[in-house]
Amino acid sequence: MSSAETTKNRAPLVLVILLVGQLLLVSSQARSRGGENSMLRGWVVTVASLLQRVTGVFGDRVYGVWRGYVDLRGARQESTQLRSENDQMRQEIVRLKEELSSYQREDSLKKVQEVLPYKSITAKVIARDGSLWFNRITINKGSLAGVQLDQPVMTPGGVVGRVIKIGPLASQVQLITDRYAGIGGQLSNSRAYGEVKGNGKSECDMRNVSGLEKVEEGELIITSGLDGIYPKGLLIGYVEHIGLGGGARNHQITVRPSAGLEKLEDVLVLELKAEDLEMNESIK
Amino acid sequence: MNIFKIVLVVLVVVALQGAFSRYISQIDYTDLTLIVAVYLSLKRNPLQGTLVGCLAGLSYDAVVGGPLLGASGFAKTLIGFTLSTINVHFAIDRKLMRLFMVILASAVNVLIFLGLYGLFDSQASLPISSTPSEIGKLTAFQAAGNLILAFFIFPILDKVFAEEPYVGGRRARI
Repeated sequence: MSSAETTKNRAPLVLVILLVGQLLLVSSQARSRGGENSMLRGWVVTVASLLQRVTGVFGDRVYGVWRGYVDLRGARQESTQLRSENDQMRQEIVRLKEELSSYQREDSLKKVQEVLPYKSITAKVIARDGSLWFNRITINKGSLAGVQLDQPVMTPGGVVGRVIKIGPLASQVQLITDRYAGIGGQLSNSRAYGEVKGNGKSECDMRNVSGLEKVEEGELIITSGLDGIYPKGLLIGYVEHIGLGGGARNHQITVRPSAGLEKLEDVLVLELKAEDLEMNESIK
Repeated sequence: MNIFKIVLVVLVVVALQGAFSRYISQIDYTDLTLIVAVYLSLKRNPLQGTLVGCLAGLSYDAVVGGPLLGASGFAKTLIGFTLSTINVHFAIDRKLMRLFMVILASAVNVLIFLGLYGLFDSQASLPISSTPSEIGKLTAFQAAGNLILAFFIFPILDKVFAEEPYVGGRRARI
C-alpha cells in the first residue's frame, strides 16, 4: 500500500478522532457553564490573548497608517480648497485695490477738474507707443467726445503732453518727453523763462535759461503760456540736475516730469478756448 | 505542501480576522478561516483538508469565536474532510466551482455551528434569534461576504501555494 493511499485511508479515522474530540470539548464546556471558568478555557483565553495582543498592535498600526493616509488625503483636499479660496481672495483683494485705485484716480481727476479754470475731458490710456523713437500714448476719447488737435493733456501730477492725432473714438498724445515735443516753461522761483524739450528718454531738458539766473535743484517748472498750446501755470516738473552756466553760457537743466509719465492710466484733456491762451499784453 | 506555510497562513488569516473586526464591523459577516479551509481542502488530500479544517476552526474559536471552543473547529473539520474527499472523485477545484464551494461551505458551516450551539449552549449566548428566517438571512449574508472575499483571496492563495513543477523525482527550483 502506497503512502498516498495510507494517508487517504487515515483521513476518515483522523476525521472521526477530531470530531469526537471536539464534540467532547464542546460538551465539556457545556457541562461546566454554570458560571465558573474551566482551566482549558483559561488557557485558551491566555494563548488567544497573546495572539490578539499581537494582532491588536498590528491592527492598530495598520489602522493608524490607514487613518494617517485618510487624514493626509483629507488634509490635502483641505489644503487644495484653502489654496483655491486663498487665490480667490487674493484676486478679490487685487480687484478691490484696483477699484480703490481707480476710484482714487477718478476722485483726484475730479478734484483737479473742479480746481482748473478750464473745461476738461477725462480719458483712459489704452495704449503706449512701444518704439524707441517716440514717446506717445493713445487715449480712449476722440473727436466724438470733443477732443481736438493740440489740446493739452494732463494728470493731477502735471502736464502730460498734447493731442497730435485724433480719431472719432481715440486720440494720440505726444508726451512732453518725446524728442519732438516742446513747451514754454518758467522756473517757479526765479521766474525765468525757457523752453522745455523732450529728450526721448524719461526726462526733458530746459533750454535757453540764462546762466545768470539762480536755479536750484528741485525747483518747480510751470508752463509759461507762451507757446500757444499750454495755458500758463500748469506744473511741468522739477529741476533734477543743473549744469551751471555763466555769462553768455546758458544753464543745462534736466527736468523730471511730475505727471508720472511711466504709469499713466487716467488723464484729463483740457478743452481750452482762444481766450485761455491769449498772452498777456505785458508779456508780448 | 509545506505544512509550516499552511499553519502560518491560517494563523495570519485568524489574526487578520481578529484585527479587522475591531475597525470594520462588516468583517463579521465573513469568515476568512473558512475561505482558507475551503481553498486548502480542494487539494485532493482528505487528511490535509481535515487537519486544515480543524486548525482553522479551532483558531477561529480561540480568537474570534464564541464561548464554545470547538464548535467552529467541528464544523470546519467536517467541511475540510468532505470537500477534500469529494474532490478526490469529482473535479470541484476549478475556479468557478471553488467559489460555489465557498457558498456551500458557508451555509453548512453556519448550520453546524448553530446546531452545536443549539445542542450544547443552553444559555443561548449567540446574539441571534433562533427564527429560521433570521438564520437564513444571516447565512445568506455570510455566504455572500465569503464569496466576495474568496474572489479576491483565492488568486492570492494560488500564488502563495503555487506548486513547483515535478521533474525527475525532485521538485525543480525555478
